[in-house]
Amino acid sequence: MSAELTDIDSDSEAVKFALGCIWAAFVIAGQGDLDDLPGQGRPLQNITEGWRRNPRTIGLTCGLSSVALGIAYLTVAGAPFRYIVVNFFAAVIGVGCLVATNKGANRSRRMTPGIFFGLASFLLGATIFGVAADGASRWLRVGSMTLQPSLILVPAMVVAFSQRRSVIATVSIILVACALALQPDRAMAGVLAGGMSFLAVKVRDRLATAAAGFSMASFGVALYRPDSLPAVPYVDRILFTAFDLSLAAGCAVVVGAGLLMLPGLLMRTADHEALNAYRIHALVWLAIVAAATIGSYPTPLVGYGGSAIVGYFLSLALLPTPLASAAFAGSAATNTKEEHREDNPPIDSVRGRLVAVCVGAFGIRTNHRLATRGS
Amino acid sequence: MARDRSLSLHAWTLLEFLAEMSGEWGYGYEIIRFSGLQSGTLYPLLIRLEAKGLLQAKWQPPISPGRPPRHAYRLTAAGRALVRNNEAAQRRSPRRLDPVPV
Repeated sequence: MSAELTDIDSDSEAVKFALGCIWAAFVIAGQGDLDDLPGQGRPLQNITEGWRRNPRTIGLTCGLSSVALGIAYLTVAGAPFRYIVVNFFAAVIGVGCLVATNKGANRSRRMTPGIFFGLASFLLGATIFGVAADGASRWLRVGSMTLQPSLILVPAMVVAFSQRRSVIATVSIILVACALALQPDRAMAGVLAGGMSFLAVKVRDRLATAAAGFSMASFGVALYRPDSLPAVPYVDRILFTAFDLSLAAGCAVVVGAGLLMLPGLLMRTADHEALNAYRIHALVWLAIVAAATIGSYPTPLVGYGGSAIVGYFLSLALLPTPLASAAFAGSAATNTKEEHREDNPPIDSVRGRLVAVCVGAFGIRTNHRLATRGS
Repeated sequence: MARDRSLSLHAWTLLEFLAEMSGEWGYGYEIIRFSGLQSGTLYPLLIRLEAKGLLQAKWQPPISPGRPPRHAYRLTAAGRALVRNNEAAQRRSPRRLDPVPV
């Protein structure tokens, strides 16, 4: 499809063709009868067969499509060029993290308790020592860029927690809930509360219930505290303002936002643990988009903002592969002693971390250079 | 032979268009332009019909340097036979006569 796209001279025809191809990709993913076909020697079916079985591949397609649609909207809306560059390089960083952690098809995605606690502490530290504006303290300044750590980390932590729960992980989620209440960030507190509540209903264990309880309390506190931040152009409320530009721009933004939920919704498996992770992924991003619709919160991937882009690909990296999950169907997610290390090394393998850090550092460096050049 | 009712109208449109190409290879966008099918409909159809053995697909080298190779399609012998049989079946179907005015 992409080869055909390069041969279309008319821009409007190319956009129409591309949107149709995105739809075609999802229809192909849903065609169940492809399971019966031999994939050998049929490159088109090999690609679609592999695409259907790997949530990260579906997510990569959705995420990159959303970023592309967002860049198209920013261009039409007349956003500063560096906004487009930042989104582009955030996608590069996000995809780099996804590729670095995608080692083989038989690896479930699990975050160790140590990493859980470290990330939660980092988020709490960012809340206390980070950048504040109009009574909200949600950001970190890295060079000339401002990041929102909760958008990067919370979706990934919720997806990881849905697969592996321990006392330390639960304490970490509670710390995250406290951070979000302190900031306050109603959107991400709502995302955390929604994800944890869904999980508590599905798995019905004490740790998930405790996490859900604290998350709901945090959401209540965040709602109670005043949040009067105005909408930022090209970032907040663009699901509405895009339609002021044109119907096509509005549709591009809506479609781009809608694509984010598809990886979690399209995946099907008999393994309940994996299915919970997929559905929670969809729920988390639905909640983030819903918050962007209701209030002045960043519209993920289609608006200006690298944090949500990196956060999306990071949350994808933690989704389990159905084959790996089916092999461990029935294993207790809360049993921390049964580590299937031979086939499922934890995500924090040294090589994966080094690659992710190198890609991230390169991306941040390039981003910083381009951002300062543009200002 | 009766028309294969498992194929949709879009599938028949595609098969008949490719039959008119008389064995020439057709590219996706070319098919879209001249058959009226949309890209969202066409590509899943191409995969499905290839799976049924009615189409064959091949990567064609790029027509100019720097361009990616493209996937091209044409009917297989089974596909051509199916289209011929369908046309024959349609010719044999009884026509409804207009009432003669009195």
